[in-house]
Amino acid sequence: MKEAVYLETVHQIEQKLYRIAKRLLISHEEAQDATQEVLVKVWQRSSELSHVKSIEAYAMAMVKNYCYDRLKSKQASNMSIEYSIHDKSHDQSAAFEAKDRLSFVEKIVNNLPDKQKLIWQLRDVEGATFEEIAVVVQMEPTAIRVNLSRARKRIKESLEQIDAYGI
Amino acid sequence: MPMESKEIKELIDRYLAAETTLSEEEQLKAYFRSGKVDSSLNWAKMLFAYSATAREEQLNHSSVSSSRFDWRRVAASVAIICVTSFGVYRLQENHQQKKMQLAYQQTKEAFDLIATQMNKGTTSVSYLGYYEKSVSSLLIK
Repeated sequence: MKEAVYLETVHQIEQKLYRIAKRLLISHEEAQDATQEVLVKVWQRSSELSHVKSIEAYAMAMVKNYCYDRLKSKQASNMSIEYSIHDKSHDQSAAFEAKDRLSFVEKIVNNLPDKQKLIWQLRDVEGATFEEIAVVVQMEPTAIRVNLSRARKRIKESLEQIDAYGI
Repeated sequence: MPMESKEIKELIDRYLAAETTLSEEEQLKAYFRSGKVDSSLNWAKMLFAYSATAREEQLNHSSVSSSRFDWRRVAASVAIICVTSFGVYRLQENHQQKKMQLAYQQTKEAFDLIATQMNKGTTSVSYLGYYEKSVSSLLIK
């Protein structure tokens, strides 16, 4: 019966994991790898996890850790400069490259610091509660709110700049 | 209406401070989905529009996405092969035409040469006729 539960929720969780991984790693291929790896691990340990909600939280925490590890090893080999460093000039030049407004919002979000990016994704895209986010990111609710607020304000500022340029 | 937008602005302030509940955030999403908003809130319209589309992002399983990519690649390579082979064909055709023209010229020249030499030959041979005439006239006498 556990298999049935797993199969029922696996698709939904898979999509969620993919979106989180894509947000952090940017590349589709890497996000796909991360999703698959985490799903396999969850499957191996699913006997320990009876509750569906806990499977999801556990999987999200795993994908977060996986992505952070990937980002760390990339940083060590100087590969992720493009995405890990946030600078405003990049935003502005990107504004002219962006074909439409939505892809520009995406660029702004992807340029946020990893922690803010992840919390924003969990809250504003996945609609997670602060308790769920706390399980995934292992942070105090107040610290989560601070990061979320910073992320939202930063996105607002960047978008207002773009609006002023009339793009 | 002004009352409503005031409420929305209040909600937005709380949203930015990360103090809104999930249901309040749903309210904001719904508000910005429908119709026009104050230009000072354009950023929020963009942001909520984006977070809604980001929610729909799906992991397409490799079979689907890669097969689509493969088709593009196949189409591209077929196009390249067609274009290059056509180009090569045209080039060869051109080359062949030139070769044919050259051969024609050369043959023509050769025939011309033969003709002039032939004319020379026939004129000199025609002297033999005089020789024969004179010999026969001598013999008759």
